[in-house]
Amino acid sequence: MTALLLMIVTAFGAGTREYVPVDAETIERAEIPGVPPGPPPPASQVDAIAHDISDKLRCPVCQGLSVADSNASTAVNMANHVRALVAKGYTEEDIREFFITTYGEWIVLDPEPQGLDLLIWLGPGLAAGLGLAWAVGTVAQWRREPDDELPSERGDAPLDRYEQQLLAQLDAEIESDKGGH
Amino acid sequence: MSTSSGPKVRWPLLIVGLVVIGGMMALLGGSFGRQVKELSTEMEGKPYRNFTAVDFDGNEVALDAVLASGKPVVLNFWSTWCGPCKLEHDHFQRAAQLNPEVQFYGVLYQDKVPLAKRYLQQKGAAYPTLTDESGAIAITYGVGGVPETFFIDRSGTIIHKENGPMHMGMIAPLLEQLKASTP
Repeated sequence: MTALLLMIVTAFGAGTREYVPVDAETIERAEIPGVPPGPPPPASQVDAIAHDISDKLRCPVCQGLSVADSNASTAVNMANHVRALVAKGYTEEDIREFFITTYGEWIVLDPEPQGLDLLIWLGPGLAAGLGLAWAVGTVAQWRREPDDELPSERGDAPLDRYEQQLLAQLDAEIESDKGGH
Repeated sequence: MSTSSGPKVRWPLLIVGLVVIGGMMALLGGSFGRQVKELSTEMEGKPYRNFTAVDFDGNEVALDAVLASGKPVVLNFWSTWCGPCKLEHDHFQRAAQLNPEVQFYGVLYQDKVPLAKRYLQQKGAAYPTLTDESGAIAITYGVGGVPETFFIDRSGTIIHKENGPMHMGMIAPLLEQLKASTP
């Protein structure tokens, strides 16, 4: 049973792994177009910066997991590559741009608000706005309608038997009053 | 005399709601079903990215130097655990033998070198295979799985990236384009 669970967890690449130091060869081979814009950050900050960047990159062989959260070999290699780039002095913007131009906008978990992705950013606001407008409109309509009106008087329901009798009685009284004058 | 007294259905609102919900579900469904193999052609039309690597015989290969020699390049990422890679193996071997003016390289993807060496000894190796233990070459080229193949012309432009196995009918026209290209 334990083995089965372990297989399932491994297959889906779930879980958070421990970082291991990136070897010098990986750092040496990690290149992206352009030179690093500045000096590398202090060694003590490299892991935190790299984790933050990897957390926003999609693991290409997983379903809905970030590079930072996946144990898949591809994700591990990507995380190491990111750390090597950070250690060389590339900024988050450089690294993000590199992955987008290499894998496409799909590789980032927080895509820029443009094209079809704009829907993701505007959708919730638009839905909330429409809902609010509908709620305000409904409340305004309630306020316009007098409370003492019967449903049948508003035309929402047909006259029941009692109302029909009442109406007939009223009509008769009116006719009778007219006759009296 | 009797008329319907059921709740009044607001059809326009219902239709708009259904369209919005349907659209969002389609977007979500499309996103979940999206495979990287269908998406990662981002490198097509872009300039090659240089790397240096070591082949199975210990020779160092710099892509810059190969292209500077005037040869177009085919980079085929593969592994021994990949079934489709085995399907296309013979086709690439034959293509390399028939087109010596094009430099072919295999790049071993997430696999063990001894296993790959043994496979090539059995199945034939018409061109060098490069090691990529850190995955740096694969990441530099946006590889999400295997097999993936890049066709780089003499000017250094990646004219095609194929995600999935190839046969001679697919490879040959691309090789003609590579051979016709100018530095």
